[in-house]
Amino acid sequence: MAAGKVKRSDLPRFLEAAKAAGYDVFAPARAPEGWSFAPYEGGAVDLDGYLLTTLSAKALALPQLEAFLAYDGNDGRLVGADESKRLVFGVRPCDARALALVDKVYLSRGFRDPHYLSRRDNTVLIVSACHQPAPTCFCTSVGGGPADAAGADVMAYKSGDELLLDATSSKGEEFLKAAKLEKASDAALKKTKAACAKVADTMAPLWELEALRPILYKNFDAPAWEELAARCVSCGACTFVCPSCHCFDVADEGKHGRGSRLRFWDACTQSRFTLHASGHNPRARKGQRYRQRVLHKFYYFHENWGENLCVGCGRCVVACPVNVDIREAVTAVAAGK
Amino acid sequence: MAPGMKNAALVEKPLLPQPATLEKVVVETDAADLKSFYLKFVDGSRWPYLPGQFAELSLYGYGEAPIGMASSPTEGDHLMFTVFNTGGKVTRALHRLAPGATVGLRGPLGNTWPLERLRGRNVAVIGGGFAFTTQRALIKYILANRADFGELTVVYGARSPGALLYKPELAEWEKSPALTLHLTVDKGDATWTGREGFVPTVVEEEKLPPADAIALICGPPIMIKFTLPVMDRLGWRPEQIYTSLEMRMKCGVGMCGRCNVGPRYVCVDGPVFSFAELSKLPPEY
Repeated sequence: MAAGKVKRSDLPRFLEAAKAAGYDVFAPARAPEGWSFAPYEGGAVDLDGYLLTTLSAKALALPQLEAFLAYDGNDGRLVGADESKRLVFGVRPCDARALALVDKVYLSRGFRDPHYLSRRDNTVLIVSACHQPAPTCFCTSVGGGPADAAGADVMAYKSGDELLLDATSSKGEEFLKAAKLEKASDAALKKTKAACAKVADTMAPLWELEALRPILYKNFDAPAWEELAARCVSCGACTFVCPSCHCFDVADEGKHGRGSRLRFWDACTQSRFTLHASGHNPRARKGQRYRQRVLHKFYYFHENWGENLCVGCGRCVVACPVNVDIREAVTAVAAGK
Repeated sequence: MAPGMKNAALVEKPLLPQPATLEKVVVETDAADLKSFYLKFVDGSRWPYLPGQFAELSLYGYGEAPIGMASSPTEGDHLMFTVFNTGGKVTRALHRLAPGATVGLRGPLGNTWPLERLRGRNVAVIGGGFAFTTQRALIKYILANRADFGELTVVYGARSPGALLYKPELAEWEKSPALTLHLTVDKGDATWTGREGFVPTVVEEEKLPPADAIALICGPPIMIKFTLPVMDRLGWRPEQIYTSLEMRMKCGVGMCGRCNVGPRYVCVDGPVFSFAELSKLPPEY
C-alpha cells in the first residue's frame, strides 16, 4: 500500500491540495461547544489540541436530520444522494471503527441505503492514531485500539515534526497516490507504528468480554439494570454522541400535500421509541431501555456480526448529565448485581 | 426460518414506496374499526410474496405503518390489507380513503409462515380478533394448493359476531370439505347460532391433534397465554407452534433499530417465529 509523509507545518498545504483536487475537506476545529469536524477553511490544524470531537464523525455519514424523499401529492421521489467527494482528516480510530460497524446495518442486511452508501463511498477517512488516550477511553477493552485501522482509508501517525500517512484501503491508496507526497521510508513507518502500538499498553483492560458476554445476557433480569438507570433522565445524549448508535425515526413534514419525508436520529433510551399504537410498550421502563442499549452494544450486535457495537470512545460517559457510566454498568451486571 | 420473497427494486431503494391504486374498500366489522383495502400497483407490476409477509403502507404527509399482507399470491394481482384504525395518524388517514386514492407500498417485508414445514403436514390455524389477517392469507394459499398440505383445521374467535373478519368467506369455509372451521365468539347476539366461548376452550374441546402437524397462532396476548398451556397438555411441542410478532417499526428493513427482540429483528428476522425460537429470546415483545 502507498505511504507518504507530510511535515506538520505543511498540513494546511496538504489539505488545500485536497480541496483543489475536488474534495470537500473536513478537519477538527475548536468551537465554543467543543471540537467538531468542520469544513476546512485554511490555517493550522492543531493536532495536539483535541482527542475527541464532541460529536463523532457519524453525522458525516448519517446526518442528524435528512430529507431523503420529497413528495408532491402522490408523487414521491428520493432526494438525490450526496455525491460530493469528501476528505475527513483527523478522525479517531474509534470513530472510524464505528462507521465500519454501522455499514453492516445500512449496507449488509439485504438492503442498501442509497444516501448512506453514496456518502460512505465518496468519503476518504484519514484516521489519526491516538498518542494520549483520555481516562474515559476504553477502546482496547472492546476490540479496538489507539492505532486500530478498522474503517480507515489512510492511517496518520505523528512522528516528530512529520505526519506519516499509510493507506489502509483501496480508496486510501488511490487518494495517497494522487496526493504525490514525499515517500515515507518503510523503516520510519515501521518504527512509528511500533511506537503507536505501545500506546495500547498504557490502557488497562476493563474486562475480558469474551468470557463476560454470555453472563451479561444471562443476567437479563439483574436488578442492576433498574438501579443503574434509576437516575437516567432519558435525554438521549448518550446515543447522540455515540459514534455507533444508528437508530432513526421517520416523519413527514409538509403543507398542502407537498413536503419531505425526514429521517432523524432517535434514541432507544426514550420511552416512545418502542411504544405501540395500541399503547403497549415492550420497553416501558428506563431499566429495560438502558438494558437494551447496553446489551445491543455488547451482546445483540455481537450475535449478528461477531463484533461489539461499543467502540470505547467514552463519549457517553462524558456527556451523561447524571453520570451513568456504561463501563460500570457492564461490570455491575457481569458481577450479578 | 423461511426467508421471505424479495422485491429487487427495494434492495437499493429500501425507503421508496411504490404507488398503488385503491380499488376497493370493505368494511369488515360492525364497529367499522377494521377495513380491508384492495390495492393494485399503478405501474401494473406485481410483487413476489408469500403468506406471513408484511408491507409498509405509506401516505405522504402522514407517514407509514407496517401491516401484514392479508391476501395470498394465489389470488391474482391485487394486494389486500386489513387495517385496524388505531386512532394513529396513518391508520386514521387510511380509513378515510375512498376507491381511486393512491397508497404507497414498501415490501414485501419479513419472513413467511413456515411453508416448507407445512407442506405434507396437517395445519392448525388458531386466530383471535383482528390478528387473523396473515392467517387468512395462509388459508387461501393452502386452499389454492390443496394437495400439498394435510388436513387444515381453523379455530377463529372474536369478541362478538360483528367483530369477525371476512364473514362471507367464513360462511363458505364452514361448508367446504377442504377444511374444518371452528368459529367462536365470546358472546353471541340474537342472530348468532354458532358457538360461544374463548379460543383456548375450543382448542381444548376439539383436542387439536399434534401428530405430524404445525400450528400457527395469532391473537391478543391473553388468548395466546391461555392457549399455549392447553396445547402443551395436548402434546404440542414449542417447535411445532408458530406466531407472528408485532412491533413498532419505521423502516422495516433492519436499519431504524426499534423492533428487536434480543438479537433478532422482527422486520427482517421475523415477524414469524416458533415458540422454540422465542423461548431463547428475552420476553421483550
